[in-house]
Amino acid sequence: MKKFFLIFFLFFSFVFPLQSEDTQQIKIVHLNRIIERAPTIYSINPEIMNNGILGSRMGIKDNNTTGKFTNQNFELIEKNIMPKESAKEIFEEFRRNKYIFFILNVSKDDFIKIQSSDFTEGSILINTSLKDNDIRNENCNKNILHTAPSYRMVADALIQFLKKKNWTKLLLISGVNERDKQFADSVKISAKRFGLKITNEKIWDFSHDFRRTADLEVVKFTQGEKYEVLVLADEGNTFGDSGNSFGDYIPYRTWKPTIVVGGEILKPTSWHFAHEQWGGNQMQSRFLKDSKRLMTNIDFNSWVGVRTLGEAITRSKSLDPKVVLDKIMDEKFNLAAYKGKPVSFRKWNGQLRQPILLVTPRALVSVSPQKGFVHPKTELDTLGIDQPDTKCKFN
Amino acid sequence: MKQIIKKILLIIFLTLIQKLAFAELIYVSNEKDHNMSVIDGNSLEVIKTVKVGHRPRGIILSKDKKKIIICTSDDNRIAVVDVASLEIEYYLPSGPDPELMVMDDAGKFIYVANEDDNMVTVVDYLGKKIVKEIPVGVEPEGMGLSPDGKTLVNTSETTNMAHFIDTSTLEIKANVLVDARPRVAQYTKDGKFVWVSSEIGGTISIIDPVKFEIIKKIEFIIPGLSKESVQPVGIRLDEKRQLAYVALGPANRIAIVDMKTLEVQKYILTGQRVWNLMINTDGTRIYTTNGVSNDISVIDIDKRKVIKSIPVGRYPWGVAVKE
Repeated sequence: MKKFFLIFFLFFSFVFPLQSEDTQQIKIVHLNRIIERAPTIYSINPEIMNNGILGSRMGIKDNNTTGKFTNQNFELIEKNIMPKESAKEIFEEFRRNKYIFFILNVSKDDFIKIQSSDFTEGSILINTSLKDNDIRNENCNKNILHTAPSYRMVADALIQFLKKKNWTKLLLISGVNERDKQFADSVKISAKRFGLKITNEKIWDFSHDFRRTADLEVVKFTQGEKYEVLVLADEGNTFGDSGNSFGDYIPYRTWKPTIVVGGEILKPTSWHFAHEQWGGNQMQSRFLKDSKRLMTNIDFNSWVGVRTLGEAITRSKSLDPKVVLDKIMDEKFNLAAYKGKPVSFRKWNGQLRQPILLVTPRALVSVSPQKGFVHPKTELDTLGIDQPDTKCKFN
Repeated sequence: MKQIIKKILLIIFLTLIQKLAFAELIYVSNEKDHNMSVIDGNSLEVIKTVKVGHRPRGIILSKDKKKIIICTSDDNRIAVVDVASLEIEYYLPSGPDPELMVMDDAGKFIYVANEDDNMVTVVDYLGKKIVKEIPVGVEPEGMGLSPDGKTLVNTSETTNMAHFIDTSTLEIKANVLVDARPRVAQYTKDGKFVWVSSEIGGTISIIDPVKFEIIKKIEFIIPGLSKESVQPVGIRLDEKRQLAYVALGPANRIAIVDMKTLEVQKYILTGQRVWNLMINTDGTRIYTTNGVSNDISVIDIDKRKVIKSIPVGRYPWGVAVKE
């Protein structure tokens, strides 16, 4: 009889293990490209340490407050990719070890190589730093989501604001790197879309130390131009956050009194530390307390990426990448991101639709989409490439 | 002639009655002006503005209706204002960043949501001290007490949960996952349901507080408005009419919901970004706080329309009404 009970007990404990011991472990990998920085013009502009990683850490913390009640535990695996290391190889190594969820703060070059890997299948990757239009359009991938806004989105956000102010004659000054060019191209598309006029385009390619000469050079450079607003296409010299910007030297040095936008002067971005509406101040003070520095846009993009995975996993109760991705792309899936409107993902290209902030280095000026720009589904889709225009084909 | 005199007399009589009926005062906390507007329910005009401390938000009356209790979030305390003198009488400790609160029926304890600190603080109102801090989710916000006082519901904005707390043990007994950014929790009078608004999810979840399950989600579809701009926050339940009034934030409307069928009956246009609301003392009006247009909408419940907008301070947040 005893034996019977023992077998009975063993059988049941095997079939129905105790629930409480069954905490689900979820690991999210944050890949962070370390680059050798070019010297900044202002030596007082220090490099932001752990840019993005601190956002992911806060996302994990937030996920775990829900997880604590749902028996799920989230863990962040932080991996710096040193200048000589290959992001693709590191990614593939993680994949061979069965990691599924990735937050990417990598260069365009890294990104293209990771995207070409067969290992993207069965994983979910979230791009937090690259604004390139092509990776959301003709070069999109169904396993890759973007919490960083695209160039098209930030350009539309800026141009909508100018249109609202009725400042419609633009002089476009562009830097020489690839990201400057992409922003400039997006501004041109956007100006056409919203009916603004670009009176002239100029390239700024001066390479000498113009702390000494900007006064003279910029005067000559803008002399005789007919415009209301000077738009800078100045994305800095590193991917993600701009470090070295020529744009800082343009305002106040122009031929005539001029409003300057773009660059760091009036910047369209996903996040800024001066943003405190819609509960934003709660987020800022929480971040400052934990991280001992102010929250950047890359921190925000990483935070929202980790929260996306957390919400989808908590709500779908699954770790199957397909189920999680379906949940994220579900019509009803949305997140609270302290921006006044729920943020969600565009089904046609995996882009996070979100309001864009227009900021000066120390203050918030406006939030786009601007009032009056309407859309049959959601005003947020007046920013960036809309469904009818997409060239993205998943599969 | 007689008829006309009769009519005039009747009008005078009715106005008098109305004046008597609306002998009430409305208190509004102005988040950005650090003060409280006092409105006469009769003239519907601001009669006094009182400094109360930094970033006043949650506002309630004590059970004896002699004190106005206000969370001053940036001062990390609760200000207690005397109804007669309209002066701050004393402060209560609240823990950091108090936002919303609820008082038990006996008038003994105040349960406070500490938004920045992920805690619910239990304050002994008469003893003027903190009794306990209960760790909850990230950014606790809504506070609802069951009619029997045994269960406290707290919502946490970032964790997206309604936490059910046993008031005798002060421990969490259950958690229910709701839609994004839950704001306000309200028990029905019979204690059978809890209504929870999700600001970003755009829904109201009706929760069974025994089984801890969501029975139904109410969605709000307003023609000409995008889904994103419908952001439910404040909820008031009108048990007499079996109607619920829900403030819809930047949709600039309140919804009237049938509490039995759980269907929306009507939307009423208010001021901009309507967040909180209160049914008045005789159940004829609703007062709403409109954070962007900086005013209060006065809604006649039977006529189902706004009868007046009253300008107050900047970012009006909470509202309380006293006879």
